[in-house]
This record gives sequence, C-alpha cells and structure tokens, in this order.
Amino acid sequence: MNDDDLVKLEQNAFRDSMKDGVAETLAGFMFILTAIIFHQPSFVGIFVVFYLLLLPRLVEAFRQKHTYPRIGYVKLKTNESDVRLLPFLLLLMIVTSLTGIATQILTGDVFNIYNWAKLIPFAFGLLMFGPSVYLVEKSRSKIYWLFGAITSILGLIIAYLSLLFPTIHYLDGALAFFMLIGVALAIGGLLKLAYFLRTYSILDSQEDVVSEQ
Amino acid sequence: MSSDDNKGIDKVIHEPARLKIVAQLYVVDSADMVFLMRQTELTWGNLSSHVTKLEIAGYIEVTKDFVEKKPRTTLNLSAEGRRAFEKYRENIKRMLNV
Repeated sequence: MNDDDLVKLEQNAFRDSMKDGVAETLAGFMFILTAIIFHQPSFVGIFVVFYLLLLPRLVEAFRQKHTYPRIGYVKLKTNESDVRLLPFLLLLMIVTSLTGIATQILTGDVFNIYNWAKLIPFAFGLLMFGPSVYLVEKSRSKIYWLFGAITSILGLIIAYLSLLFPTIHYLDGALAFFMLIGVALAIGGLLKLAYFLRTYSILDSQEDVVSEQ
Repeated sequence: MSSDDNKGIDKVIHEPARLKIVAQLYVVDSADMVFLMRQTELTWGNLSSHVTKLEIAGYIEVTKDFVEKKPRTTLNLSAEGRRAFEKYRENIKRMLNV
C-alpha cells in the first residue's frame, strides 16, 4: 500500500461521490442563475436564499434518499490546501494574457476596453480550466479537460459573433455563454442522474442483522 | 491496543481485508458500510466482522444513526488507527527496503 495506491483510493472515492450527476446539475443551474443575474441583478436575493441557504439541505436530503442507499455515503477529506492562491493567480494571468492576445487578433485594438468587454465569454471560458484542473487532479479522469476546452471554444465563438454583429450588447454575449453552458451542464447532469438511478439499484441493507450480532 | 509482533508488523492491520478497510478510511473523512462494501468488495458479513475487530483494537470509530428511518453505520479512522496505519506502512517499507 504505497503512496500512489492511497492517491488512487482517494481519487476513486472522489469519482464515486460524483457518480450521481448531482454536482453537474447544480453547477448547470448555477450558471443559468448567473445568466439571469447578468440580465436582472435583482435576482441576487433569490441566489442567496436558494443556493446558499436551502440548496445544501435539499441536496443532502436527495442524496440520503437516492444516492447513499445505492453507492454508500462517503465524506471526503477537505484540505485547506485545496484553496490555492498561487495557481489561481497564475490562471488569472494566463486568462488575461490570452484574452488580450485574442482581442488584438480579432479586433486589432487591444487598448479599447469595449473590445475587451466583448471578449468576456472567452475569458470566462478559459477560467473554466480552473475547475477542470481541480477535477482532473481529484478524480484522475482526463475527461474533465473537455469542460475547460469546450467552454473556451464556446466563449471564443460567442465573443467572435458579438464582434461580428456590433448591435449585440457586450453583456448579451456573457449572458448567452452562461445560459448555454448552464443548460448543457444541467441536461448532462440530469442524464447522468437518470443513468445512475437506472444502473445502481438500492442495496439490500443488512444493518439490522449486523446490529443484532 | 497495539498488536505488534516481533518485527513490528501490526497483525490487526496486516490482514488483507482489514488493510483494505483501513486504507480506504485513511483517505476519506468517513464512510458508511455500503460504501466500504463496494470499495473493498467484501460481503456484508465479512466486512462487519473485520470492522468489529478494528473497532475492538481502537482503530476505527463507529457511529450508528438513522437515515430515512433505516439504520446507518458510519465509520472513521481513529487517531490511534491513523497512527497505527502510518507506522504499519513505515515498517513494511523498512522491511522491504523500499
């Protein structure tokens, strides 16, 4: 049982905890709500009440009823080192640089702040490499690289289209980006959840027998 | 309770099934019996008997509660269990000159 074996065990536990698709579904709704907030900032109140106060309890209740009886309950370790400032700053620097390069290539005027604003979807798309790196590291599943790649490409396409059609407001591009990513993630998450519920049956618990021993 | 033999190998942990359980609990905060059963591929009875031995040795802490009116047993490695597992790994590495 060497260090690599332990890391693999931890990664397997993480992958199992993501099997029910709830995380993807929630992330999807989070993006959709972000798009709504972009459109109508007064919805921030709903975001706070629903996402921060109600949702954790609802998710736990759902998992207790549907997830844990199928694959079991696991509480993963939470290390303070999970929040790493240096890689985050490095990512911000890369995102800013690449957005600047893209702004120069697509518009020819990198010093115009309006052009930068049109590239917001691309910048957010690149930022999604942050969660990608985290998920790949935690789960050993390279498929999570796709998330950063797809969001970046989608962000670039939306930014390009909003540059192509000057009548499009710069915030509309960001709104479309968040809405599309949100809908895709929510649908993907719900499909994963449906597959999970169909594939994993509720295990016949023998807790009563064990407790009597 | 320590279960070292002459070479410093903890016999409680050294048994393959219990090693799987302890290693699994070492990398997570806590887990229930269903999760451990799936990860270790042990039967419920087998898992239960090894868990009891680890509990008696003081290596794991067992919490019983009710979820959706059904009993649930949650396990986590105790501080003593964590130390014992780390010592076991060190001893194995030393023995094998890894």
